Amino acid sequence: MLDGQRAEAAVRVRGTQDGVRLLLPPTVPFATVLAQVQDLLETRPTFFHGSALTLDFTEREPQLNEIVTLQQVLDARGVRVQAISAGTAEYRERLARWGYRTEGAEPVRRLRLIAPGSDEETDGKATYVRRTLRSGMAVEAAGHLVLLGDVNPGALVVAGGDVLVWGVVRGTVHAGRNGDTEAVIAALRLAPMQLRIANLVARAPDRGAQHLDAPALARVADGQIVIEPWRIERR
Amino acid sequence: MEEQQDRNGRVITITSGKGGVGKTTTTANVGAALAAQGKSVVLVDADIGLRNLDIVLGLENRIVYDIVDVVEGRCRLRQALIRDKRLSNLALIPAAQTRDKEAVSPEQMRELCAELRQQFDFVLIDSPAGIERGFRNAIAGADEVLVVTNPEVSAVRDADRIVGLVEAAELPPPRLIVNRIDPELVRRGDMLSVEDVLEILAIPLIGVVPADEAIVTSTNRGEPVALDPQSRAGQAFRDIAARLLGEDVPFQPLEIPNGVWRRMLRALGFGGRA
Repeated sequence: MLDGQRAEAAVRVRGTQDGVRLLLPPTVPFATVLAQVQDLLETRPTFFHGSALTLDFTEREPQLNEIVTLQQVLDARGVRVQAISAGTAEYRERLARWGYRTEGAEPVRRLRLIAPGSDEETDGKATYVRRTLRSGMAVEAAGHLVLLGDVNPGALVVAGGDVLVWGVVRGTVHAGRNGDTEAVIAALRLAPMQLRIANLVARAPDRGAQHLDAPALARVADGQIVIEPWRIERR
Repeated sequence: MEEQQDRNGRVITITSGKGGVGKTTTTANVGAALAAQGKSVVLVDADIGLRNLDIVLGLENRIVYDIVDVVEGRCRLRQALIRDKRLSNLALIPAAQTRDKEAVSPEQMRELCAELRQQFDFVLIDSPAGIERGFRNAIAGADEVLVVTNPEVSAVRDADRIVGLVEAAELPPPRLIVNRIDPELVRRGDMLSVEDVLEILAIPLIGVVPADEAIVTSTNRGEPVALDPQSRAGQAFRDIAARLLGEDVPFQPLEIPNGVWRRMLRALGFGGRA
């Protein structure tokens, strides 16, 4: 596709912890960049299909028309752009103004509470959090997690064990993150964006979601996540 | 505005997270309403690089110095203060248009607010959109924060994020303004209601501003609707000002103005815009 000495002038693909990154070269005309990206998509369709990647503009000045064009091309191949990274604060601000989610622009620390103890010893140990988690906040616990407050859309709760929310879950909750399918999620009201137990994912229906207006419990049954109302008399 | 006595004014930041929800309009109108009540008010445009507040107030042609000139010592504070053409106790410190947010630091904003509060009863800061430097500058010197949102899921999501950041900055819980609500759309179930918004954000409500076409006209003309006794949105902004002054003003019922007329006009193909 391209010879060795021109490598820095080419679009590069890099796999990272946060998924695939497309590193875009600085001085190359956009038509070349576009052709290279299309080439990559053609030669490695299974690698890209259904993935979410980051467009890395740290070396290249971000231009709206370039981003939009790349998005369209990727979208047509079932690839989602999850974030865009930029080299300078000015560019990040520019991207934010265009409505893109940027990387490395997090000005305020995320709320991250990690319970003491290793992942193995989750039995009977719980982290207690007393606050509503607003959009952009994340709480993580090695063991069980008890939260007094709501989990708003855009907030994330991750626990090694069970998650018990004395409030409304509208955001995303992950219980049993190390693969414990016995883990459960219970809340006064479950109206989640997404629930995850072990490696299973259940998401809200795209439209017309009907939520129980009552306490509920989510657990794994027959290999999928089921939500059932909490019945006091049964227990 | 006597220079000598310390007025110990309140510094209030108007912010939103999402752009285009009406921060600048709110700042201009609440400021004008407070000034019309006899308070001395200064509006600070913290949206450096995207200067707007001066336009909404119709003061663009009076700008000589701006906020960056003040913090960089190129002029004295009083030289950058632009007096409103209608209300003598309303003033503006414009943003710089040719610089960016990095031109001012949170520390400099704190100093500026401290100086302004000695001279004014109210210092209203118009925050830029976003959660980055500009936002941090805008809340740096604030005593209180007003969060403006629209009854739209994305605006509410961003408002929620902002509320969390305000709380993390150890400011008191912000108060909420739901702007551009359309009672007809809410009635049809096509728009979030004020109750829906409050259920997520769970902060005190300080104002509900109905969608009002007069806003567009007034913004373009540089005349705040808060000074128009006929405007429903203007009334809502005057109510917010009164609530800031501690008055217990009931919220206006959101009846549909001239509902029959509007539906007829719509049926005839006029005013189809939601």
